[in-house]
Amino acid sequence: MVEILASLNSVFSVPVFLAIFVGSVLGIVVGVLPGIGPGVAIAVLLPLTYGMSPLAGISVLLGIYCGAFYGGAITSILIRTPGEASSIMTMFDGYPMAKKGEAGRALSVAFMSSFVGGIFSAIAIALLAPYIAKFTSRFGAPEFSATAALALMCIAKAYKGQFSISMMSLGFGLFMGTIGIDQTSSENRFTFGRPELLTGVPLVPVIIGLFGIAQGLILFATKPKPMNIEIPDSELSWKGFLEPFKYKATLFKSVLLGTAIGVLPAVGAALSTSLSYFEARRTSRNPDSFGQGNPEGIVAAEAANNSNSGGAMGTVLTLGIPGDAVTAIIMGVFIVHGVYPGPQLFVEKPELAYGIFSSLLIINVVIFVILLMTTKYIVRLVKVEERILGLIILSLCFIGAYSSATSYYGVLIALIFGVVGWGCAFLKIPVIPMALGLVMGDFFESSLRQTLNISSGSWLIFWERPIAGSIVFLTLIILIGPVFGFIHRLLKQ
Amino acid sequence: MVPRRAESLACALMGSAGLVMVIATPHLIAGHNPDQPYYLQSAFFPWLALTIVCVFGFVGAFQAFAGVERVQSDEIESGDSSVALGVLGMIIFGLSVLVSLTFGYAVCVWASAMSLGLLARLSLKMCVFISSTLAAALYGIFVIGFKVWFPSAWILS
Repeated sequence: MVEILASLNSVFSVPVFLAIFVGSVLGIVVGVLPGIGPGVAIAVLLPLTYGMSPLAGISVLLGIYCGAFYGGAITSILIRTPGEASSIMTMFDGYPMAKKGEAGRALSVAFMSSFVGGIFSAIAIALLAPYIAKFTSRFGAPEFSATAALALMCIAKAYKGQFSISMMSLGFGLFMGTIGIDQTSSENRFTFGRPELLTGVPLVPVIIGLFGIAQGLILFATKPKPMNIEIPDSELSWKGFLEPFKYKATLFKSVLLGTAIGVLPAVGAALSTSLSYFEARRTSRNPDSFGQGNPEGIVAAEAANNSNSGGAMGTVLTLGIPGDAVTAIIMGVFIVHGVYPGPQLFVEKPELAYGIFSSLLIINVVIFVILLMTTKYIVRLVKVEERILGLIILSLCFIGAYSSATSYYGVLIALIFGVVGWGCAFLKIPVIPMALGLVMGDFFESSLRQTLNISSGSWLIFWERPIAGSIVFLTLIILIGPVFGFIHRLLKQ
Repeated sequence: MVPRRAESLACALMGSAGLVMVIATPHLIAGHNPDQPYYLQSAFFPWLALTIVCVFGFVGAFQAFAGVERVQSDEIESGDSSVALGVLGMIIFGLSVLVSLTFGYAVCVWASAMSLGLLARLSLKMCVFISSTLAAALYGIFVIGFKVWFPSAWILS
C-alpha cells in the first residue's frame, strides 16, 4: 500500500496526469464512436506515446482501454448498439430502460457500477501483484516456457469453433517473430539479405496494419446508412448513481468475477459480463424482470466489464503475458520503451509497476468526472459516419507507421499487414492470435530453448518440476480436448 | 452446416505454405548448422511455428469446409464493407507514399483523404473540410509538435 501511495506522486506529475486525461477522453470517444474498438484506437494512437515517459505512454493507452468500457455502455443503452462484445449484456436491461424514458438513470447505474469495478480491481490487483510477482520470481525457464505455451493455447481456445484456424494464425505470428538475427546463434533467419529484416519484423507497424489499416479500410468502404438515429434524453441522475449499492451482493460478486476472469489470458470481458449477468439473474428474487429494464442487470454487466482491466494488467505486469489484443499492444509499448514486464519489474522498476496501478485508479476517477460533465454532448458522436472514421484512421495509420522508425519501410510493413488483416476480416480468420504470437514469440523461444539446453534436449524436464508439469498438463488438456470432441461429434453423426 | 469455401481455401493455402517453408527453412537461414543438437539449431523454433501453421492450417481447412460453427468474437468484422472500394483504398494508401516523397507530407495527407473521401461518395464540401482539417492537424501535431522528420519534397528540391 505504501508503494501505491508513493507512486501517486509520479502519477500526479503534469505530463502523466495530462496523459491520463487525454487517454480517458479518447477512450470514451472511442467507446461511443461506431466501429472502433479500443484495440484499433490503441494501435492507431500508439505513435502519440513515443516521445513520452513509459508511465505517461502506458497511461494514455490505459485511459483509452478503460474509457472504451465506459463509452461502450452509452451506445448499448441509448441506441442498442454495443460497440464491443462485452457491452451486449448491458444492452439487455439498459435499452428497455431508455425506451421507458429512463436513459439517464440507466447510464448513471452503468457508470457507477463501472467505476466501482474499475477501482476495486485496480486496488485488488495492486495489493495481490507483489505476492504473485514474488511467487513467479521463483520461476525458471521451464515454468516460463510452460506458462507462455498455456497462455498461447488459451488465446487460441478463446475462438469457439475456430480453434484450428486461430492456432494457424498463432503459428504464423510465432514464425514472424523468428525473422531476423537469432539471439542464440547470431545466424540470420529468413532475412533474404535485406538489412531491414536483421532486427526482425517491426511490431508497431504490424499492429497498425493488422488492426488500424484493416479497420480503416473496412469502415471507409462501408455502404452509407441513413442517419436516423434518435438519441433519448440522457441527463444523469444522482439517484441512479446510488442505485448500484442497493444490489451490494451482485456488485461484489460481479467485481470479483470480472477481476478473476481478467487475470486469465484470452478469456476476456465478454465472458465475465455474461457470467455475472446470468449469476445475478439466477440469484435474483425477480429473475423474470431481467431483460426488461432491471437496473441489477446493468450493475452485474458493467461492474464485471470494467473490473477486467485491472486483472488483465495484473497478468501482463507479473508474468509478462498479454491476455488480449489491447494488453498485447500495451506490452508492445513497454518493449518500445525498453521495459520488460514480468516479476523482475517489481524489483527493478517498482515505481513504474505501482505507478501503473495508481494510474488505473486515477483513470477511473477522471473518466467518471468527464462523463458527469460531458455525457450529454458525447452521445452525439454516435451519429458520426463510419466512412469519415475510416478516412481519419487511414491517415493516422500512415503517420503512425512512418514515425515508428521515421522511414517508409514502416509504412510498407503496415500496408502489407493491413492487407493481411483486411483479408482475414473477410475470411473470418482471427488476427489477434497472430499479433500475440508475434509479441510473445521471442519470450517463448528463448525460454523454451533455455529449458531444452538445461535438459540437453529432454522434454521430460517439464515433468520433473511440479509447477511446470502442472502447467504443461493443463496445456495438453486444452490442446487435445477439441480433437476428442471433434472425433466424438463425427462418430455421433 | 454451410461450407465456407473461401476460408477453407485460405487455410489450405496457409497450410501448404507452412509445409513448403518447413522444407525450405534450413536453406533460408544463413550459416545453418544441421550437425548441432536440435534445440541449439536456429531452425528449431521456426520449424515448431511452421509445423503449427501446417497442421492447423489443414485441419482448419477441413473444418471450414465441413462448416463447423463458430461464435462471435472481438475480431474486426467486415460487415457490409465493399471489397472493390477496400482494394482502391489500399492502392491510394500505397500511392500516398509516392505523393509524400514528391510533394511532402501535408499534401500527401490532403490528397489521400480527399481522394478517399470522393471514392467513399462523401460530398465535395465534406471532403475538402475533412482533408484540410486532417492535413493541418496531423502536420501540426506530428511534424511541428513531435518533430517527426520527413524527407524534403522532391518537387521543391
